[in-house]
Amino acid sequence: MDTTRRDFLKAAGFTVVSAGSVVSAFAGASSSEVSGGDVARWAMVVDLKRCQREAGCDKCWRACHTAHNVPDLDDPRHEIKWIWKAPFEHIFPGQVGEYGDLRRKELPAVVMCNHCDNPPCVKVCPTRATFRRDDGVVVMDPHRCIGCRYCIVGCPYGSRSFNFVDPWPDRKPPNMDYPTRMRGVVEKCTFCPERIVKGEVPYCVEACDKAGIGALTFGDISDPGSSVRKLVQSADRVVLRRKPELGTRPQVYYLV
Amino acid sequence: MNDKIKIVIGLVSFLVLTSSPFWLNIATGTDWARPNEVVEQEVARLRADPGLPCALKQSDKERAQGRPNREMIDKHMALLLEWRDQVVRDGDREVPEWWQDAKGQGRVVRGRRLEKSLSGGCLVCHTKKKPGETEYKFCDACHTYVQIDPYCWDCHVVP
Ligand code: HEC
Ligand code: HEC
Ligand code: HEC
Repeated sequence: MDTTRRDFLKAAGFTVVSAGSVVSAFAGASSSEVSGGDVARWAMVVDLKRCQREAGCDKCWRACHTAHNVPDLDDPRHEIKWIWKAPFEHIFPGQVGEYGDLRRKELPAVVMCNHCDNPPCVKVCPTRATFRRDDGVVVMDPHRCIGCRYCIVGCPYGSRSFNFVDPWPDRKPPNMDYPTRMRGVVEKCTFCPERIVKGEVPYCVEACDKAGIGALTFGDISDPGSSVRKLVQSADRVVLRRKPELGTRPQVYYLV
Repeated sequence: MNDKIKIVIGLVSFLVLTSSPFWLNIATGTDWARPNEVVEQEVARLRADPGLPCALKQSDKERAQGRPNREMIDKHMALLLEWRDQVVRDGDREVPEWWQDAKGQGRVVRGRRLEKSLSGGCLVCHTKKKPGETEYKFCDACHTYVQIDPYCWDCHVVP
């Protein structure tokens, strides 16, 4: 057993793919909006007013990272994150001018994988380790990941992390029910398919609700009656998506 | 050209010798697949508690006789890969029929609901390691014998 499936895929992947594929990721964006029909289209709405009010809150990402065994590594170069908080001006660069609401600019809000309808990470992946499910969730299949990191380059939101070191050298992650990752694979937010299938909302949403903040709403945006759909259509709030000009059609919406 | 007999005798004895392991196995009924008693004891224990058949069923007759579950021995690697793709790529998490309770969910075994999963399925029944032991008792009993070391445990942690 000298050659594992992963080793083989690694070699095959590098041979097949040329660097040009990263560049071509943004080409070919079509204008039609996906979704509709019987299949759900999962989406997240972040209420910035509520989220930013709790500047020091870490409930959402702690819940997620504990449940998914995301390590808390000391070296910032090795950092792994699925969901984290960033200042508004980093999430929406250029949205607040010199004379805008300068205070809000610095307040952190939650960011995660946008589960794009037109995900560039999926297009560049040479082994199809990352793919878009029918319900729109963009997931990583860690079994197929060869660690080429094209997806990290392809993702315009920095939503993906690479395991430069063994994340759990002591083999004692917090949640024994969920697999860890190993050195040499990429990981990211998954919208918790293991919970969606049971009709539960993702860990971050649950934690936010439990804390009484209610900044995160999750649901099927293709359903006209769903709460996410109503929030996104709300008349009194501005609804933003991150870097919409890239044509990735993110499915994480921000209510300003 | 008087060596015909010698050549034939030589050929025949060569064939008999090289194929002898097969004949011996058939004659003695040896089962290569169970290198030691660990697997045997585990299987006997599981057939009594919790009594549910494994992920792939063997025939009732063989089961009653306490014979090895050939289906599992031969196909468990392929089955695991199939499960992996079904769960991760297709979102299909339905467990085999005989593991389901009335609501179609996995039954509770040893305080844990069976899932279509390596650590949350197979290893709920097939105990991992005893406290203080470093090997996965059941799985590794065979794998050490055939000198393979599945890399699954790099990520699928087991308490
Ligand atoms: C790089 C880390 C990694 C390796 C190596 C790995 N897995 Fe996984 N595996 C995962 C993760 C993470 C999930 C969970 C994906 C999810 O639930 O979305 C998973 C899910 C699975 C599942 C379905 C659900 C579950 O919890 O078991 C099966 C079955 C599975 N893997 C089998 C295997 C087998 C068999 C091997 C070895 C040949 C293996 N895996 C190696 C990371 C890994
Ligand atoms: C419900 C408990 C249960 C679960 C879960 C379970 N098994 Fe089994 N397993 C058994 C029993 C009982 C046997 C004995 C054969 C039988 O009665 O079906 C067995 C037999 C086996 C054998 C054959 C051993 C022999 O020598 O006969 C292998 C290999 C095996 N299991 C692997 C697995 C794998 C891999 C998984 C996960 C896909 C798994 N088992 C999940 C109960 C279970
Ligand atoms: C009865 C003996 C036996 C038992 C028990 C057993 N295995 Fe295996 N397993 C094997 C053999 C033999 C192979 C090698 C097959 C080959 O390489 O052709 C194998 C291969 C595998 C592979 C594929 C490895 C690879 O690199 O291709 C996986 C995954 C695996 N076993 C998982 C398990 C798990 C999990 C258990 C415990 C629940 C288990 N096995 C129990 C005999 C066994």
